[in-house]
Amino acid sequence: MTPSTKLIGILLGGIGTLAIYSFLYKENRFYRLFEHIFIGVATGWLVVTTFRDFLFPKFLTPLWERGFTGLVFRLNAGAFEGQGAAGEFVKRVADASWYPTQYLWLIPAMFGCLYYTIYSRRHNWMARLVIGFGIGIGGGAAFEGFFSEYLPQIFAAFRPLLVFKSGGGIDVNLSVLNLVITLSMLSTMIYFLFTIDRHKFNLESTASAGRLLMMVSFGAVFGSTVTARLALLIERLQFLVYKWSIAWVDLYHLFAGGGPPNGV
Amino acid sequence: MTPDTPRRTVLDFIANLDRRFVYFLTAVVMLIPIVSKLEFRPPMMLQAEKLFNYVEDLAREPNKRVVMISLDWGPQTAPELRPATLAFLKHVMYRRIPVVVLTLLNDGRGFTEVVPPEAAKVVEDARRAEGVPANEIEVLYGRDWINLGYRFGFSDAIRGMAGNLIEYVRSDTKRKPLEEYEIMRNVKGADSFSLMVEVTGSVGIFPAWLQWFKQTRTMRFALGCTSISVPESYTYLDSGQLVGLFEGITGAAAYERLLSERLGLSPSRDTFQAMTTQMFGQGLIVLLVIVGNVAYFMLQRRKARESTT
Repeated sequence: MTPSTKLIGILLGGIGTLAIYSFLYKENRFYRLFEHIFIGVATGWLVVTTFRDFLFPKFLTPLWERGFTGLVFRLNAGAFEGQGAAGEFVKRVADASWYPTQYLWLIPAMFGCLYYTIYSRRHNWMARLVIGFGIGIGGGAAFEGFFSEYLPQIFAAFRPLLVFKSGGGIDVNLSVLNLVITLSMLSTMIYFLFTIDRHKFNLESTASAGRLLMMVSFGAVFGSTVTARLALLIERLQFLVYKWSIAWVDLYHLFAGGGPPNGV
Repeated sequence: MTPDTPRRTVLDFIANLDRRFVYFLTAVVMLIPIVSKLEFRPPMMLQAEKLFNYVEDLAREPNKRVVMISLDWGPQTAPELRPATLAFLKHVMYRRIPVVVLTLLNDGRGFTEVVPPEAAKVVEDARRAEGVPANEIEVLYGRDWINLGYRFGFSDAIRGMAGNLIEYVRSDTKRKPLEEYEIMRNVKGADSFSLMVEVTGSVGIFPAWLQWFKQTRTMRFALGCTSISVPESYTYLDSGQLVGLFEGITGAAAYERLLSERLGLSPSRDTFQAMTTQMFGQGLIVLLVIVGNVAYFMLQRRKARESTT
């Protein structure tokens, strides 16, 4: 009886996990082997998906089906002229699949290929054209993106320091919260005011408070980073305990002559 | 031990602790809830509840508009984001809100094929248990949900879909034209959706959705993020750019609790347990930080005392 691909996958997954975690003890060949396997698989996967999901469906297939096919039939249409059904067929296909605008795709494609001139000392100035074009597009999009992303946040930063309840009276909780946010924002901004003399305007302590507040926020980010790393460990531990260990039991039963008791 | 050798105290042991001992201790402590299958009830999270209530409001609309969820995560962030995705999909599928699933990350492709059927199965089981008529139990592909798979091009893909999704994407993962599906009948661009849920651990993807899927009065955003990006995600929440947020595993566990208590859907045991295990890990780290600091200051005091005598 041969083990299923799922079973093999789980067994290999567990071995790979232990190999990577073995680095925590010390650098070793077992770790290096799986690190290289991972890099190789990831690179191969990226190349294949780039072809399969972008180059073929978005560029090569439309160009071939709606560009080159039409061109080939069009060029040969003359040879089939007056040959009855065959001639009609060739003419019909030539007309139906003739989209000259598809050839426009070749212009950006050739322009993009100029990037490869980066390997030539003499011609690498052409690669800079492509890089410059990319930076221009990226810069324009980022400028536009700034307004959609940050403007609502800037508007939201202007808060009333006294919030009134709908039934009357002051909403103390919200008012205090707004005050804290406003003071935090102002003190942090003052910390980054390097063009004026803070001492002259008595802003030293406010800037220090801003620095302190930033430290608190960095601490929060660091704490949440630790939490995220723990989550990764949890998933691997759950995998090793609930799946990997059971997969070995299944493999043993498989070779002992019975079926896998846990159905992996 | 010779009389000249200084006696090693607990303080010296802590000060010279091998980092490998900390790794080992962390693994042992975190294995306790996993091996014993210990589960604590997750806390109620305000942001998860906001999203839950928003989806409930959408469910009350007579003509339920389509919801979009982008699974922009891979194996490296799956432990935190898979529970969030699963919880959200269970909710919309249970409420019969049509949902479009896709990913902008290469690594996410496999998850778009695995997670929605998993959510559909939970919903179908729940409907069976409720005694729903047999013809209304199934969560149908093409009517209740659709998988657009991996869309190459990041912000270009978002821009293309925002303009005319049918024309840009053309076919689903089964390579069938989108026009043939019932769910896509009223979908055109970004305005056709009632909610766009971005689930990601990557920085920069959500702003691209914000940029190209302009937030209209009727189309809102929600975010599922990893614990790392929670602090920066609050900025979007505070400015009203999000209707709700999944804050890592805790957010997903809170959502699962809402699904269980308010809709009677069976909660994901893995999510509850992961949250409990995370709590054990965090507790240990806090303890180690306190012990380490106390030991450090005590050692400093001892050194100062020794230098004066």
